[in-house]
Parts: sequence; structure tokens; C-alpha cells
Amino acid sequence: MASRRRMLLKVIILGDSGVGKTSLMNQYVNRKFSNQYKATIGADFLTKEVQFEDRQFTLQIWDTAGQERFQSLGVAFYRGADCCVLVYDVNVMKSFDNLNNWREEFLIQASPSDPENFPFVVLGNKIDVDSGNSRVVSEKKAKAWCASKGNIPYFETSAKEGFNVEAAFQCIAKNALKNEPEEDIYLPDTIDVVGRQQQRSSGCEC
Amino acid sequence: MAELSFNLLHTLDPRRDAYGFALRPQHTQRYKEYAKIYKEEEGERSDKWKEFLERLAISDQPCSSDEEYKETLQVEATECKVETVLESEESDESSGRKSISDGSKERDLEKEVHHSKETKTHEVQTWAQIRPSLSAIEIMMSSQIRTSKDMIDEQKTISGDHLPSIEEAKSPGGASEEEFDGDIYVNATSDDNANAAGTVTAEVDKVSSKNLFPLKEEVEFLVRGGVPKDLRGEVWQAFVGVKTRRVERYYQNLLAQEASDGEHKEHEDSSGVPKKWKRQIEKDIPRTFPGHPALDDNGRNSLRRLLLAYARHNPSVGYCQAMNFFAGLLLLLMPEENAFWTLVGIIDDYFGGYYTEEMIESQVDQLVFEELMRERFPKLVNHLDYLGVQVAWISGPWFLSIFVNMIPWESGPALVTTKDAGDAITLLQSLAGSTFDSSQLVLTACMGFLAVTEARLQELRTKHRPAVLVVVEERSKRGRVWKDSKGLASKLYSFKHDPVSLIEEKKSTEGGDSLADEDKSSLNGTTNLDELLNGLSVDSELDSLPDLQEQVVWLKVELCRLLEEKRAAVLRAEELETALMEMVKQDNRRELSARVELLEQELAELKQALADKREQETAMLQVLMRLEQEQRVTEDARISAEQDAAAQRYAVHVLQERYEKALASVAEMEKRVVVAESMLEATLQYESGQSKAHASPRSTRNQDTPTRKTGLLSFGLGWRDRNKGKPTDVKESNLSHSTNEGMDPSSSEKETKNEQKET
Repeated sequence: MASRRRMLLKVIILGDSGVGKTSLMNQYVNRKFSNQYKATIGADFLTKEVQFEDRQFTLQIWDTAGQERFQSLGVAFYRGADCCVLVYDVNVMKSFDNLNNWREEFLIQASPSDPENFPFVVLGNKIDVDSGNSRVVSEKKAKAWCASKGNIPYFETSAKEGFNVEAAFQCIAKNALKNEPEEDIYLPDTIDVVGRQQQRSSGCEC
Repeated sequence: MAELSFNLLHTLDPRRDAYGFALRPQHTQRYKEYAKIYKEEEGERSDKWKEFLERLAISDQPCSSDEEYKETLQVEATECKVETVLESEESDESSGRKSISDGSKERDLEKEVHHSKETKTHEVQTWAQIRPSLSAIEIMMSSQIRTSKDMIDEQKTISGDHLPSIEEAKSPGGASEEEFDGDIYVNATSDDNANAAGTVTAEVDKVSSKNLFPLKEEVEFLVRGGVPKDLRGEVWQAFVGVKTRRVERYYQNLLAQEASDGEHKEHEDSSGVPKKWKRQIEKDIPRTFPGHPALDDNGRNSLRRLLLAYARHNPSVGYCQAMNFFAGLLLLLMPEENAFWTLVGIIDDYFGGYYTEEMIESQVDQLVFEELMRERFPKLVNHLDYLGVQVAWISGPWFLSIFVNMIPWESGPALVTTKDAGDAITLLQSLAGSTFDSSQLVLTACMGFLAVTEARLQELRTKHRPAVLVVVEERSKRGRVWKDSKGLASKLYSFKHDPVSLIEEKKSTEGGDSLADEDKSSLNGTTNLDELLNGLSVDSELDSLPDLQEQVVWLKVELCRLLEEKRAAVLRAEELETALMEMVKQDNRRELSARVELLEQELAELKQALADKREQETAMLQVLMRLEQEQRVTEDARISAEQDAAAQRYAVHVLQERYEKALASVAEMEKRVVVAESMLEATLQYESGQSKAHASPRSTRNQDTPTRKTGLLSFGLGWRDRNKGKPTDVKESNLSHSTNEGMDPSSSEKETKNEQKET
């Protein structure tokens, strides 16, 4: 019964406006890149089926609006997340500096049971821009930050070229899974009900 | 110019709809199917509106703005000169450096500017006149704006220090203007002083009592039916009351300041548009209706100017994502400055508080919307609840972008069948995807929300507002807690499931001393009130320095929050109960699984049977094969036998032939025998004759021959005698004595010859 129910992994993508959250998600789910994404308002989301260790999972990826004030609006869906993806643009220092804020914001709003070990994954996006010449955040710096926050896995990606996106999301799925070993099996209700029904029925028969 | 290209291009591109928005490929087919219907409907709509407007134009002739319009056209020529002067002066103003020495003069100028507003239409391309026949609507709407206008004016004077000249001239000048003008537009009447503007308002009231109320119903009806595309921009402007709102040169000044800001950036960081908004606007401009033909470089520049101007106009909002879509749509429908004023009207009046930093109003509205949904479409909401989807997740973006981006067109009975949260949201979002045929939705919405009046909305809003405020406050507090002390924050987590201790935690941060506070309070009573009292006392102890009042307010809020929470908890409990009941109802899951098992068993059996059958089949096949082989063998045998038979038949045939030949030869031989016999008889007769006449003379001479003949005869007779007993065996003897025969005939022939000679 439990195995039949497909398991849902909830992933939230956070990061400053315009770092490429929507593009990353679309690249991963649809393997497509477009120059013409609309600005995301509120939250958007896509799902993808993934196979991991012979089990089928549904990856539910929430794409969020980057502008700061939207945080006050739609954070209810942070709750129940299994993994949080922090995205920054390697060509914009501010977006990297804000990672800390995003992380803390997430921990406050989502209130995970074990905030110290909650799985994050950091993605440095847009490494293709100007073939890396306009880059301002070095890989070393990013990795140092990740290390300081409890060895967060770090990936450098290009949603445009599709570089490293698959690998990054593999890692995301893996970590999400680690975080949520078997939360989705909820049967006590059913059993209860059945027990009651049986009692009732036996009573009737007497 | 750019503005011209905006005005409703009727693209022939089949992949775009009438507004130039790209159709998603999966909907193109459908759109093509529906295109004709849309066109018809559009035609109907425009006919209706046309008729309506014509009627309005006639009835309004004596008192409304058509006349005014004509007048201003006449005035145009005379005022032209003044205006050019004005413009030069105003451009000075716009550099923001002109000192206003003479207020009254300024006021006069202002008035004249106002007066000559209509004439500008023909010169400034960023400003276009709405057609006069719509003015009736405008008048109706401006009576509403009048009140709000005061507010705006105040706001402007407070926030708009950077526009001193116009503001100052405007707000105090309103009354006097009216006295002079007798302007029917009630333009910018800050009519607290109703006496001064009395005449005007009276006029307006007269107008409204005369034809606005029947008009209102009709307009409502028409709007629900849809505004035809070509009219839409103007109708919107009329509704917002753009003309009433418009302050001459205001927009240009905003832009000019922007430009001057750009020149010396560091200079005016405080008053200019903050950098973050600018950055955000820059990011969002290419992400507004990407690929739309009207948003080329010119279009984008317009959009940028518009958004920057608004950010400057209303710094409490600045720029919020989603405004870009709305502004973009306005730009598609009307010239730039009209779009600006429409945007101002819509955001300031209709969506006040929506786009501010906290976005409080939009959250309130989400709650309101949810409650209304619960009321009107309980099944849908229950389903969404069951799936763990909050209505706001879906409707939030719709509201924020004012349904620009998100007009759903397929209605969703399919929704109720979805299985999990993911599917539901995706479906709802996909519903929201394409931009045509919203009329059905509007209809559904109208039917569904028919009883929802403005008053009710307000009531609900006020009902939900405190909750949101509290949440926001809590949020900011939590954030502060987090930022202030990480240690505390982490403690916060461990207490988060225990609301009481959470409150304590918060209180402690307020007080500044965490541990002592916490201990005390945890020792204290359990009820909320006790806690609060305790908190109060503790706070007052510890917090003797700052404002007690604030504390009290905070505590009140806290109490409010707690009560709210309690209510929410009760509600939640009820909800859970109903959910449980529902689940009980819905939980024939067990039955289903039993059935599934049963079916599976059956399936297994069937599979077994199938396998058996298959085995049998193979066995049968083998048997068949064997049979076939045997058959082939027998066939072979048969063929060979037939061949044998044929050979034998042939042999028989050959033998027959031979036999016939032999028979023929026997027959011949028999004939010969008969001849020979007859000859022999003849000879015998003759011989007997001879022996009788032995005495005759001739007998001596003939003596030699008989001797020779007897020898010959004796041989023949002997043979004859020997065979006399079995004459049928002639053939055999014939065969066996073929050699004799060969001799015989010759001899007998000789004999006959001899006999013939003798005779």
C-alpha cells in the first residue's frame, strides 16, 4: 500500500529577482530555455517524476517571486519543504550577498524541525554570460560560504546552456529524500476507521 | 511614434490574438475555431456600445461636455500662444529650480493651463482626449473621485515636496478655479469648502439625478457584457476619471526629475527613485509580455518611463512586480500619459495598499476572496483544502497582476477530479494561461458572486485586516528576533510548537532580558490572561525606560492575536472534524483495496489459465505437426504406389499388345492350318482316287511321285495324327514348333505347286 502511493518531494527555489530561478526550473523540467520568461508573480510551480534507487518520486518544484516584498505575501508554501534551493547570479555580487538573507528567511518561515541540518543546495547560475568574463563571485568564495553554513552542496550552472542543471537537481532530489525518509505514509486513519467499522458490523451481526 | 504603434494593432499573425499576445501553441487550434465567434461577439458589443454612446451624446447635448469640447476647440486658437509661453515657463519649472515668487501668478497660470487642457491633445502626443460621448460616464465617476481626490492631494503635498510649484498651486487653488471656471468636470475640487463649489456640485447632482442612475444600470450591464476592444482604453480612462485626475505637466516633471537624477546620481539619492526599484524595473521590463510586437525599444522605454514616474509619484509603493504587466497592458490601450494617470487612478484608489512593502491589502483581499469562495463554491474549496492547497497560492498572482496575465478561459469542472495538490495547482495555472474568452468566466464569477456587494467586501476586509496586520507584525518581529540574536532564534524553534512559550520568548526579546523573563513566566499560571498580566508586570518592571503605552498596545495586539488564534484553533478543530467525517465517508479505500486484491487474484488466475491454455496450444501444435508429417509420408507412399501402378499398367498394356499380336498370328496360322487341312484332304482324296485306278497305264508313270509324296505325307500325317486328340492346343504346338512351321508351309507350298502342276 505504502509503496503504491507515490512520494512527493517538495523543493523551494529562492533567490533574488532575475537570477534565473524560473529558467532553471524550466530547463530541468522541460529541458527548454527561453529568453522570454515573464516575471514571476507570487509563486509558480512544476512537477517532475524522478527515479531514485528504484523508487518513483514526484519532485514538486516551487518557483518563487524574487522581489523582497513578495516574501510578506506568499510564504505559507515554504512549510513542508524537503529541500531549499538557493540561487544566485555569479555576475551580480548582491545576489550572492543576499543568499544569507534568503536562507534565514526560509528557516524562519518554514520552521523545519531541525534547522541546523535542513538540506539546502546552492546554485551559482548564469556562468555562461560573457563566457565567464563578467563574473564577480568566484567559485572559491561561494564554496567557502557553503562550507561555513554546514557544507551545503554547491553547483555552478547555466540554465541557458543546460550545464550542470541535471546534476544539481539530482543532488537536490537526493538531499530532499534524505530529509524526508518516510513521512508520506499515513495510514493510521484508515486503520482506525476500519477497526471501528468492523466492530460495528460485528455488533450488528450479534 | 511609439504611442501610435501601441494603439491596438490588428496583427495578422495567426499565432497572436487580437491584442498581439502570443497564443500558446496548444491553444492555437482552439483559438482559430473560436476566432469567428469572438469576432461576432465583438461586433455585437461594439454595436451595443455605439448605440449607447450615440444615445448619450444626444441626451447630453445641452449640458455636457460635447459642448464643452466644441468650446475648447474654439478656444484652442486663442490659447495657443499662451500655451507656448506656458510651456517654456514650465520647462523651467521642471528643472526644479525655479523659485516661485508670485503665488497668484502661478495660480493664474495653472488655471489657464487647466483651461487649455483640451487643446493640448492635438499637440502633445503622449496625451489623448477621450471621446466626448464617454464623458457622461466620466462625470459619474468623477463624483466619486471628488472625495478621494482630496486624499490624493494631501498625499501629494506630503510626499511630493519635489513638485512644489504645481502642488501648491493646485490644492489651495481648487476652489477659486471652480468659481472662475464653473467647470462641469468638478476638476480637482478639494471641496471641503462646499459653499464655494456649491454651484458645481449642485450641477453635478442634477446631472446624476437626472440620468446617472438609469445610466448606471445600463453601463453596468454593458460592462459585464464586455467592453469592445477599440473602446476599452477610453472606457477605462473614463471610469478612472483620468481627465479629472490629470495635473498638467506633472508627468513630464516626474520624468524630467528622473532625467536630472540620472545626471547627478549621488546627489539626490533620498528623493529619487531608490536604486533597488530601478534595478527591479530594469529587470522586469524585458520580462513584461515578452515577445509582444508592441514592446519594442520604444515600447520598453515608455514602460520604463511610466514605471519610474509612478515610483516617484507614490514612494510608498515604489515599484512592485506585477505592476509591470498592468502598466504594459495600459500602454497597449492608450498613450503614455493617459496610461500614467490611469495607473495612478487604479493603483491609488482601487488597489491602495496592495503593492506597498507589506502588501497588507492584497493579503486581506486574499482572505476575503477565500472566505467568499468558501461561501459560494464550498465544494471547490473543500477539495482544495483536502489537497492542502491554499486558495491564495493560486489567486494571489491573479489579484496582484489585476487579472492581466491570468485570465482563465476554460472553466474547471475538471478541477474537482484532480488527485493531489500539484495537479490542482498546475491545472489552475494552466487555466490561467491564455488570454482569450474570458467572458464566460466573467459570467460565472458574476453569477457566483452576485450577492457580493461593495459593502460586504468592505466588511469582510475590515474583518480580516487585523489578522493580516498581526501576522505581518509577528513576521517582522520574528525577523527581528532572528536578526538580533541567533541563539534566541534557535530556541524559538524548539518552542515553536508551544504557543505559550513562544509568546514568552517574544516577550522576553521585548524586555531585553530573556532568561529571567522566561523562567518567571514559565512558573506562572497557565491561562493566557495570566500570562499576559505576568508579561505586563514583568515588562513594566524591566522596561521602565521606554514607552509603557507601546507595551500596552503591543499586549493588546497580542491578546487580540491570541483570541484570534483561539478562534482559529476552534475553527480548525471543527474543520478537522468535518474533514475526518469526510474521510470516513470517503474511506472506502479499504474496500477498494480489498477489491483490488480480489481483482488481482482473479488476474493471477486468469494468467495461470492463460499459461495453461498456451501450453495446451503448444502441445496441440506439436501433435498437428506430427500429423502433418505423417500425412506427408503417406502421401509420398501413395505417390510412389501410383507410379508403380502406372508402370504395371504399362507393362500389362505391353503384354496385352503382345498377346493380341500373338492371337493375330495364331489366327493366321489357323487359317493356314485350315488351308493346309483342306489341301491335305484334297490330296488324300486324290490319293485314294489314284489307288483305285492303279491299274491304269498311267499309273506306272505316276508311281515315282507318290513314293516321294508318301514320305512327305507320312511325315505330315504323323504329325496330324499325333495332334488329332487335342486340336485346341494348336497354338502351343505352333509356337513350340515354329521352326517346323517355317519349313512346313514351304514344303506344303511346294506340294501344292506340285499338285497344281500335276493337275
